[in-house]
This record gives sequence, C-alpha cells and structure tokens, in this order.
Amino acid sequence: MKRFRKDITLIYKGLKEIHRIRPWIIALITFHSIFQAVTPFINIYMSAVIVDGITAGKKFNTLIIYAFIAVLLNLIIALSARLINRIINLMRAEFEQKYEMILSKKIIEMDYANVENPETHRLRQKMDEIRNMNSGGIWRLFFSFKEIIRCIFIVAFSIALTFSLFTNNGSNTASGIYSFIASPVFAVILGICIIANVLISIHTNATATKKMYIIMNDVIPFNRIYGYYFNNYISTYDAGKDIRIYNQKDLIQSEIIALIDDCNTTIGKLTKSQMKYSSISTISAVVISTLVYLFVGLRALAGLFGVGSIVKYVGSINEFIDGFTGFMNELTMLRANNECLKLYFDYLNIPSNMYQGTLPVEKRSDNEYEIEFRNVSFKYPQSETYALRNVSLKLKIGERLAVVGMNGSGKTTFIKLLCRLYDSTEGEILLNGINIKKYNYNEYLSLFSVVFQDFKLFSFSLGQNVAACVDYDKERVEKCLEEAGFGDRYKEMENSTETCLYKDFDKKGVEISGGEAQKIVLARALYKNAPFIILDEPILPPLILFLSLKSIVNSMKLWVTKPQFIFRIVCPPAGSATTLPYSMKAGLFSVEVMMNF
Amino acid sequence: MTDLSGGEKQKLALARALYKGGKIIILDEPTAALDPIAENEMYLKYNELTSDATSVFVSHRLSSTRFCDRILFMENGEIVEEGTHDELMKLNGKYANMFNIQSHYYKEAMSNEAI
Repeated sequence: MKRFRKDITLIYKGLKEIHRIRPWIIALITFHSIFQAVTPFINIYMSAVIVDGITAGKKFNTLIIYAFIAVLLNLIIALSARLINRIINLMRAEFEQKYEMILSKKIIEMDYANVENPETHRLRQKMDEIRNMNSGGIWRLFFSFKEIIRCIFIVAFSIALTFSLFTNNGSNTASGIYSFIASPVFAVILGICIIANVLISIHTNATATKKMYIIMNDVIPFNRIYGYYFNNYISTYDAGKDIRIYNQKDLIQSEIIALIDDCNTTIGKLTKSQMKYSSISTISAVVISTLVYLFVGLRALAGLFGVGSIVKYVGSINEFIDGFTGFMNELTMLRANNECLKLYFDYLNIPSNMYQGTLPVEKRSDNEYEIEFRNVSFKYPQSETYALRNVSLKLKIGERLAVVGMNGSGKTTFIKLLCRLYDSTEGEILLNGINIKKYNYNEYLSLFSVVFQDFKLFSFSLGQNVAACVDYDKERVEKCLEEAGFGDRYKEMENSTETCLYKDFDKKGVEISGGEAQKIVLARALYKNAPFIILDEPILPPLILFLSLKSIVNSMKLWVTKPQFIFRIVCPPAGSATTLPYSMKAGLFSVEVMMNF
Repeated sequence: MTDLSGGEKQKLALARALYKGGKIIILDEPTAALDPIAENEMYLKYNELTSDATSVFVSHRLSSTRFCDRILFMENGEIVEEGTHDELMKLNGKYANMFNIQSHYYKEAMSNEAI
C-alpha cells in the first residue's frame, strides 16, 4: 500500500511538472479524453432509443429525427475532439522545446565538477535512450494520463447506462427458469464472472509488462551502439574521409549485422512472452462476452426489458470491461514507468553548491588585480591522486606568465582552479586579498578570457562566434580577428562577419582549418576584453604564434591597458625525460614551472 | 571504457595508418597534440616506420623537416620552394626565413625587442 502511495505521488509530481512547463495541456487532454469516452455511448444510447421506437411503433418521421440527432451528436463530438487535439499537438511540440531547454539550462547552472563527471552524462543519455525506445519517462505520462481519464469516464458512463439491468429484477409472476433469471442471484453471478475476468486480464498484463521492461533493458545497449554509428559517426560528414581510406564500410556493416542478430534474439523472446499473455487475455475476454450476451438475452426473453435495451446493455457492459481493464493496464504501465520518470527529477536535482558568493568584483580601470594561490592542493572528485600539490604563487600585475610542464603535470588543472571551475581541495585562492568563493560567480568569471585546448566553434556566423553573443560589434570583431592573425583569411570571406562557419546550417558555410579555428578562438578571447587572458597550449604555428603575440602585446596598449597575460607553451626537450624543465629564456615572460610529483 | 587523451588518439591514428600498410603514407599534422618528448620519439622512429613506403608529412613545425628527403614549401596554393633542408637554407628564401624565426625563440640570446 505504501509502495502504491509513493508511486501515485511521483506520477502526480510528473503531471504537475508537465503543467508547469506547458500550462493548460493537462486540462485540454482531460477534455479530449472525455469527448473520446462519450463517443461510443452516443451510438449505444441512440440505437437503443431507435430500436425501442421501432418496437413501440413510433412514426417514421420521429425515427428519422432520432437518427438525425445521433448523427449530429457524433459530428459535434468528433469535430470538437479534433479541434482540441490539434491544439494539444501544438502544445505538445512547445512542450518538447521547453523540456530540452530546461535540461540544457541545468547543465549550464550546475557545478562545473558535475559537468565533467561522466555520471551526469550517462544519466542524460539514459533519459534520451528510454524516450527513444518506448517513449518512457515524462513522455509516457502524456499517453497514459489520456488513456486513464478516458477509461475512468467510460466506466462511469457504462455504469450509468447499465445500472438498471441489475436492479430491474422481475416480479414474482415469472415462472420456472425465468424466475431464476429474473432474480438478483443471477445478476450477482454475472457480476462475479465479469470481475474475475477483469482480474485475470490485469494479472496477465502486469506480468507481461514486467517481462517487457526486463527485456527492453537488454535492448538499450543495442540502440546505443546503433545510435553511435548512425547519429554520431556516419552523420558527421567529415567521417567520410576515414571511411573511404580505411575501408570502414565493411567493419561498420559487420558490426551492425551482428547487432541486429542479437537484437532479433532478444525481441524474439519478447514476442513469445507477449503472445502467451495476450492469448490468455483474449480468451477470457471472449468468454466473458459470451456470458454477457447470454445474460442479457435471457433476461430480455424473460420480458424484463425491451429489445432496444439489449443493445444498450450489451454495448455498455462491453465498454465497461474495456474501460476497467484499460484503466488498470495503464496504471500498471505508469507505475512501471516511474523508474524512468525519476531520472528526470534526479537530473534536475544535481546540486549547484558553488555559486553562493555575492561580492561584486570591483571594476578597476587601472586593471590592478592580483590573484594569489596559497598552498593550493587539488584532486579531481573521481580520483585518488592529487593533480596539484602545495601550489603557491602570486600573479603579479602587468606580468606575462608562462606556465610550462609536461602533459599531466597539472597545467590545465591550474587554469581550471584559477577560473574557479573547480574549488581547491586544500588551501585558498584570493583575488585582491579576498577568497574568490566570496565573489559573485559570474562577476568573477568575467575577469577571464580563456582559450582551452579543446575549444569549440559553433555553426553560427563568424561575428557571433567571436563575440560569443547573438549581437556583435562588427568593428570590434574585425579588429580582434586582425590582431589574431586572421586578417588575410577574413578578407576572402564574401559575407564578412556574417559568414557562416561549417556547412551544418548554411550551404554557403565555410570550412575552417585547425589553424584558422585557433585564430578565431584567439579573437574571441580578445573580444571579451577581460583583464586576464589565458592561452592553454595554443597550437598555432610557432611563427604566427610569436608574431601575433607581439602584435597582441603591442596592440594591447592601444585599447586595453596592461592585461595580465598567462601564456602556456610547450617547451623543447632538454635532453632526457627525467631532468626538470627548462628555463624559457624568452625575455617576454617570467616563468613558473609546474612539475608532476 | 576509457576516453583517450588527444596525444593518445594521435598515436592511435598513426598506428592505424601504419597497420593498413599502404605504399604511400600521408600524415597531416600528426604531432600537433604530442608533447615534445613524444614528438621527438616519433621523429626518431619515423624513418624506421616508413622505410618501405613513400611518405608525405604535412606540418607547419619546421623541426619535422630535418629528417625528410625533400621539402615542398607552399604558399597561396603554389609550391614556391623545393629542396633539401640544406639547399633551402642556402637559398635564404621564405623557408630559411621561417626556420630562423622559429628557432630564434628557442635560443639563448634574444633581445628584449617586443615592448
């Protein structure tokens, strides 16, 4: 019973969430379901009326009017249902967009540590897979809620129409077998048979559903692999080069065929079990229908009611059975679905604990910022080893700092801590003497322009990529592109800053080489105009790198006064791998060396 | 299943190219994500790895040209200079200029000319 209550609470929570995301859709679905529930009863009722009218010898014109009313009612209900359904479909599309937006917003708001946690992405991926496979999760609620409301009303209407069948017991004038038929005992027996049938139906359905979910779980990895090949690999057109040169067609083909074979075995199992259970359901449904017809027919023979009522009662009882079974089945599906629905709420509940600080960062026109690391140690949440140990240094004003070290020495981690993507495990980081946790997070982030190694450009316009914004200052974009060494390439672009990068959305989009992408990203860092510019192993050709560095440094004088410059470069080997690096004798930089302990 | 770092992926891609055993091996910036030690190793092994094939090595890092038999210097879609490293250095053209600038920053004496 407790389990039942928990399930219902979660289902209700899901419905409330749907309502929050797209108000009115739940209400409209309810109306639509009521219309659908009413539909069969119009004909049942009016048929009974017409047949009774015929038996009672009513005038032809009256009967025609009855028929006309029946048709009219059908028309009105059908049209109304159609109209509402159209609106629902529109809202449903809206809901889908808003749903995606909610999930995307969540990724942006959560603690960065969770963004880099593979569990987060597995959770999201599982939600998408379940949705693709059988519309599970929050999507199931739409369908099931609709069905449940419809079934509830069908049960209500059918009881209303059938009530008199059981209560209208004959007088004592009936004789012989007819007296038994007319007695309440007979009605009770039928009632018991109907309920028994319904219970059997429910039981087989619950078992079948449980089995189905188990088997479906086995199908998920198939979909994942299939999805990887088709959605992630083949559909990106630049995979074509490797596919041709390395004859990957055969490899992919054989993988997919093996996959489909496994899939067939699994689905074969599913079909067998479904066949068994649906046969049981069907047989019991046929048995009960037969009983119902017998009951109603015999009572009619016993003279308890007219012929028209036969239509009414038989129709209604059948609707009742369908409705009640349907209700119980949908409820079972919904409860089984709760596990998937829970994923959605789990995802939304991923914590964002880092963003409690409120201090604004003082906007210094003299750019006098000083950042200090005090005995900072750090290890990643999923790791046992320390990535940084006892790092203490001050980033002095006006300084250009080079941070060097081998791969894995902690350079990128250092940058992530500096930007407060992670909080240090031990020690503290201070900005102008105050712990950076106390500052408003967005304000603190605005101090940094970073070019990471794994940067991404979007398939938007060049200007939007540089400004990282929908609207941009064209002159400023052009200046930054020039400074980053992209000037010559830029002159070749017909649509200048409106040129679309890559061909995903625009046929006339341009392909960007690796080096060109680096320059655009550098321009993006310059555009932000932040006091600290950080370049994490920019893979620019050394020539261009140093040239544009010089011009960057020079031009910084023109429009930003003395930015802090942290510049990380890869140094040439000093011989054997065990010697500690390397003093970088370039006069531009003072050097901090990171070592792996 | 683990994710590979950028350098590891590059090495894997190189392995794949060698495995195919083609007579012409083309490498487009194969050391971009490698640290200097790994890059150096690759250069040392390069001749060994490609001994029975013709190889084309595309790079902007001039350190890679030292071990090649022939260098083609391209600009604006044209081959503007061609030869061995020594020949091109003697030519004192664009290649020599680029090489000098790149090595310049790694040497001891550098004037503080920037600012």
